[in-house]
Amino acid sequence: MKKKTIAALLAAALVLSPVMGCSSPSGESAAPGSAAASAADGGGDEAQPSGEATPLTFWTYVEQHTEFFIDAADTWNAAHPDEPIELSTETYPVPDMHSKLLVTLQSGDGAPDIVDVNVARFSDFMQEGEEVFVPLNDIIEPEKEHFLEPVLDIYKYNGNYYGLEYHVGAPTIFYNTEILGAAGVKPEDIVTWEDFHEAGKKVLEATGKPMITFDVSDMWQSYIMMCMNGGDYFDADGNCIIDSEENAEVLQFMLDMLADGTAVTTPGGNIHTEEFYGYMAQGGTASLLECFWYLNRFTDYMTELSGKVAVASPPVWEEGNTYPVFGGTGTAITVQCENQDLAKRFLAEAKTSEEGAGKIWTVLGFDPLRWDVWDTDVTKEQNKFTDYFGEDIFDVVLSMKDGYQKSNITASPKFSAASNLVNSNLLFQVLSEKSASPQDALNAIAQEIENTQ
Amino acid sequence: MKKKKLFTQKTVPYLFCAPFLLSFFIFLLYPMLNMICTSVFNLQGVSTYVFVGADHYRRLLTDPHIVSAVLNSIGFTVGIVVVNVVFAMLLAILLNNRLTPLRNVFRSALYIPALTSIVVAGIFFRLFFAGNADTPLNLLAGLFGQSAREWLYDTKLTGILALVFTSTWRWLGMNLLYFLSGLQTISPELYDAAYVDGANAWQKFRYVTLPGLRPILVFVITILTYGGLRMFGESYVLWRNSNTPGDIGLTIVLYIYRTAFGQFDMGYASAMSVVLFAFLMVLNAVFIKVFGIGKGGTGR
Repeated sequence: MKKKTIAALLAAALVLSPVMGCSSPSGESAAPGSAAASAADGGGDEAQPSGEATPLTFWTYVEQHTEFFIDAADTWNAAHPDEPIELSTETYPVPDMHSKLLVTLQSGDGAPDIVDVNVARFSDFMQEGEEVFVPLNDIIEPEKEHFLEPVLDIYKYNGNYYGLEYHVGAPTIFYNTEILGAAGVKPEDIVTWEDFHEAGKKVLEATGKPMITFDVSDMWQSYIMMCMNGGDYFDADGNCIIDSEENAEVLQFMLDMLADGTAVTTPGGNIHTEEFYGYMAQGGTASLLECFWYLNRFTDYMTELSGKVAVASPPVWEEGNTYPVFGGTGTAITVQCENQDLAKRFLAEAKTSEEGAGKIWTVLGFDPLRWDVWDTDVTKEQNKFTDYFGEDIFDVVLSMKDGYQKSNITASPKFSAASNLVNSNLLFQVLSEKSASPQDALNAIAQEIENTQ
Repeated sequence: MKKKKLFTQKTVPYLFCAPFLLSFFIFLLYPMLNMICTSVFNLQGVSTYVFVGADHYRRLLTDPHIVSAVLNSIGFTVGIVVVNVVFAMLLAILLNNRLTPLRNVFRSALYIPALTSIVVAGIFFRLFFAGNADTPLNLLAGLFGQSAREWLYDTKLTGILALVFTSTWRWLGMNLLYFLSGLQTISPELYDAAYVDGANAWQKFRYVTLPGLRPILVFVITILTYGGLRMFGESYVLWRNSNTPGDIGLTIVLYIYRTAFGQFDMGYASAMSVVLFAFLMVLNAVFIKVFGIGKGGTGR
């Protein structure tokens, strides 16, 4: 009898164990591999919170953003001892975080209070009839005049702002001055892409090295060039215009440079790979095109080039060209957040305040949205970036200030499909395999995007 | 009385099976039925599903990436089955021979890669196949007068070869172990009898070893085939995330993953999964028929 009871209990335990496993309260435990951090107690004696801390959760896919928000929580708790917060952060790989966010938003439970959403995935969450993020108008509008509006507008739907960027993501070109010097080329003489191509010929002749590498598995570099030429993947209303002449012209220009050897395809497929870091660090190419935030890739992975890299605005197609800005990551507050007002005020202080904007530079090394800090002492203070690139880094961002334009990156929910197709097919077919002409390849991609539901 | 009724000889087996059955229904059967259901809907936004009927299945017929994914998966599967069966069997025979020196060392050494994580192995091989002139493979190619090339971004064939190489490196030791265990079940008397009958080495292999290894061969071919067709990790790591340029390393499961989690196109991804499932079931039936699995007496 006793044996039977034990057997029954064991069986019952086994039956219930998988079910029990699912029912732990959401947010209570961190997923395996995630970094959970509490920032409620920071700030020393003065910062000791006196009230009961309100828990807030934050999900991101960038480890450095975690550091930034933990620092922001410390600052908040020091400034608001009567209203402290306890910030739990979790970091996931990009696809995992977005699919986890989708599932929690679908199920109506378990979503974080504050979340980082990749700009290329933002429109996946923003479709008619559903509001999964909280409008941030009341924290953005009072400070709007200090902000670069094109970047704010990326996350604007029906007059409401649903996300707040970390940085402008100003398109930037980085020149290896040692290689340019050997060919007698000065960065300031390169104004147009045509000048750039000509300079490339001199560099190739003098050093045997290419002027630039073109990515075949990452869209951003060609996207910058296409937007500067008046192209984009979608128009402001979300209609697909990827097969435009402007886009084809850019691909043709890239092909021309590849043909005469002034450019090569990027080792490793794109400039965010170990293969490329090694290649660039060993002086493999004279320049690279990316956004301002790429500064930290140099300081972290290409220390050999310290003092040998000049930061400049990208060449233009013709005078009066604008520079596309598309940020990179929008921070949003989900509708599941129970303390939306507090979360908003915290987010405002972390990102929209002058101090917060300064931290975006000092902690993250990004170009903050608040342009009124670009020319202050904060950006001139000595840090690893000024040591590497010199003190006038922000002059470049300032020189482009009036030429920034919003890209239509969040205009269509099909953007993630388009970027996947460009990353995996278009660039490779046109630039590497050369199996299709730019216009034919773009037409095929446009057709495929059309078929995507 | 009630207690007695609960624990009868008839009910207790069900009670013991309940954990498995519940897990099966909740974690396998329900998601599968849900997948079939989702395949006729289209996800718009976060939670709005719109009925689209057979649209996703029709799209499958015109999607150019499906062709690449299927060809890559089949190419990879054929590659690993051939390489892993032939090499593993030959190595097993070699390492089963008492005359082979250091055979225990080799057995362990060949098994060690199976213990490494695919992420670690993938990163190593990504750099191994990289286009930089100073990578091991390009240095090796240089010795034969070949210029440096981007092996992972060259052609579909080099892509599949890279996948087969990486996968074989990891799993050869495991398959070797299966064959070794199979070889050790063959009675030495059979070899003695063959020797007495005047059989040469090839005849011994053909008429004693090979029939003796038949159950293991069937097992290895089966697991390699299914492993190959649902391969994901190697491709995901070698080409970083899910973007394999020109579909060079795109496999069926990677494409499903990219569609579902890269684009939130859950309906289409489900439709692909349903078709893959149906195909694997048909393949299953073929395997059962051809190899006579489950009939019993499949012995030598």
